Amino acid sequence: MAITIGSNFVRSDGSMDWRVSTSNVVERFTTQAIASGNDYQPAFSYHGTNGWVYYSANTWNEMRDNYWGGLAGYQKGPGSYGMNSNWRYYAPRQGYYYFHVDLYTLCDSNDTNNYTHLLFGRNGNVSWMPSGRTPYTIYGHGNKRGSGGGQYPSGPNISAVMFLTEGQYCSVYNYKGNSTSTRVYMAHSYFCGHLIS
Amino acid sequence: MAITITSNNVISNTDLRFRPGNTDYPLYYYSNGPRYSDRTPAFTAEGTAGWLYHNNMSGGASAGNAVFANAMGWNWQQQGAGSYGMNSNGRYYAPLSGYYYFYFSTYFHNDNNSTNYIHLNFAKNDGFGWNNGRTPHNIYGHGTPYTYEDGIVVSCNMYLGQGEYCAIRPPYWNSNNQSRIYASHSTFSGCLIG
Repeated sequence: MAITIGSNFVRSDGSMDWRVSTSNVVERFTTQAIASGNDYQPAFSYHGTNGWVYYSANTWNEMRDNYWGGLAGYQKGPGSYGMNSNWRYYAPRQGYYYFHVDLYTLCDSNDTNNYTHLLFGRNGNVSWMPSGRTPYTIYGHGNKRGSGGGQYPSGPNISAVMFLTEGQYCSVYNYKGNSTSTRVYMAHSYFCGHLIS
Repeated sequence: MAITITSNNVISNTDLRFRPGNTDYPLYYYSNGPRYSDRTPAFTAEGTAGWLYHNNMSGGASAGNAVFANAMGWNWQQQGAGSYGMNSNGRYYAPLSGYYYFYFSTYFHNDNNSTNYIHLNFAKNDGFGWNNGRTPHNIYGHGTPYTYEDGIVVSCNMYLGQGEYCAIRPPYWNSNNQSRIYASHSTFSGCLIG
């Protein structure tokens, strides 16, 4: 086997590894011409461990370990940063990141004040968009089934593409209406993300 | 610093950088491994304006012609756009050919108890049938009694040739102008997958 360097290509007879130092394979190209990426590219996948958790009304609640509980899942490429036990994800490197969260929510009654706004924050600030807007969604406003009692809002979830500099963090926020009768089952809730570029 | 080439390895003892031409480094690997490029197309945008009804959209009250994109204003942050990327008309023009991830979320209110539903989806070059001729839309707000609908969100992986564009274009929105979206709570984002 040999590696050939052409005018604008690098060719190997078989699979080819790009390494930073002799031990770190940062890109592997297979004989099927597939690039496999590397174990250092930041990514994480966690769900919570707590059961039902209620949260405060009329304020943005940062969902930290007092909501989620322990970390159940995995991550790669965190370096000195990555997911922290306080459920803040610290960017290992500057770049654009994809984030996603799913919550399992129950409104105990059909009060319209049981709604939840769902949003991400950057470095503790929910106004993280280019001109400071807060693009939140809403779940659980009133009773949509036309009968009394509580309800499970349909699929509370949100995603985002967020720019972070190294060491900045992303975390999940919810805003609760003027009622304390909404809860989230954290062991069914999920937070994931990865570095795009 | 040096690059060593063995039988099937290319080894650098520091950041490994790729340079087509003499000045740019569109891709490199940090010395501790992560791949980084500030040239890979990615963007995140926020909508501006307040409540918008169907008849505020391009195409007016004609069901199936509701183009969200240019009814709102947009602010955005992006990289790797080249001569393309996000535009003030709410269209994202592909800087390179490839598969792109797109995401859109907004804030939907049904003004009465009618079935004021919306099908939410993207369009490619204004065409609804971007996925092999089909329109893989979802549905929100059908019969929601006078309240805010849960969500609403949609995402996709779409192939675009260089210069083709993606925008939010619901293939159907009930045209009686009794449901609305709040533009300033909306976000449109995406990136090149590969």
